Amino acid sequence: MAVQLIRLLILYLLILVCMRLMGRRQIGELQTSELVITILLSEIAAIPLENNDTPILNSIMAVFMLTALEILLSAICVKSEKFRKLSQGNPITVIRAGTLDQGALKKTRITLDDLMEAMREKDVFDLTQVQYAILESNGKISLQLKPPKRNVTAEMLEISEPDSGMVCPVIYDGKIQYENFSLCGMDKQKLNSIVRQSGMPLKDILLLTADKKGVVTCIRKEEKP
Amino acid sequence: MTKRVILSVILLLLALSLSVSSYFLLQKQFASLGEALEDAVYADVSPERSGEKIALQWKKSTKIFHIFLIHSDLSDLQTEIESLPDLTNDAERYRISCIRCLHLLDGVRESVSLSFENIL
Repeated sequence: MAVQLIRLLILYLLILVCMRLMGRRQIGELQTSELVITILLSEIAAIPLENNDTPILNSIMAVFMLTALEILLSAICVKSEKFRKLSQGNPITVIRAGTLDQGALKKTRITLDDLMEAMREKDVFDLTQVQYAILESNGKISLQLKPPKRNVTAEMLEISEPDSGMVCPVIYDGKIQYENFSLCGMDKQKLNSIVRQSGMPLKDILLLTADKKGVVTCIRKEEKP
Repeated sequence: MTKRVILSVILLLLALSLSVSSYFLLQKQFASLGEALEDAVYADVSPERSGEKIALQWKKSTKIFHIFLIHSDLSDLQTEIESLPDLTNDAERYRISCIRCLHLLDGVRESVSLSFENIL
């Protein structure tokens, strides 16, 4: 039992490290090769866990190899457009200038149901509102609405909206996030003044966010019962 | 990006070197155990002496085999080798058992060799 637990720990840490090495794309939207690698990694890791007789080193070698291949493949994709098209494919336009391209739908084997579902996920319920719909190489569908249906922006209303920068956490779970100071124009003096004004000690602050305009939100930690 | 590529090359080299070194380690163990078994079969050595040599070599080799190999014949080979001390009084049966061990060892050796059949 202890042997199984140790093997599990080794493989878990190994997969975790390798997924981190492969980058964020593994965790978010997957391209074909990334999906293959993710499935293979989980299968390979499961083999020595199911059977203690199976050498763990074989799985470790296989995981190293797959991780290395995935990183090299993605590096080649960045450098070579031809290789990228070969391994990931091209996006395909299924609605062009408001017209449904039925040939493209047949070619991609996407049904109208799939298309309507993708549209509803983006809160679009009417096909006639869509100007362009593109089937991406990772299988997702991107939509651009016709101009009258698009959301109003400040530019359309000729309103000049000052840039308030990004709202970032500057205190998280009582700890100061110094790396976010530059994003929201914060400094230690300002932060000390804000904390003093809040009337809470630093350790009692669950979350404090700020932006460049000086808008601050502070949430206190709940008291333990 | 360059750091990741370098890391991937290192991982690749690590995987390849592990693979190559395990291959050579296993071949060495196969050769040593095979030699000990062949001495028992073909050389004019008493079963007691050859049995000791086989047992000693098996003790070394089994550790390496269990780290790198999984094969159904390994457990049969282990059973045969462990039963050899009981056959030292019967030279003919001892020899036959050693030949069986050699065949099993050859089977395991074949399974790790780089061949078309093994890949398929």
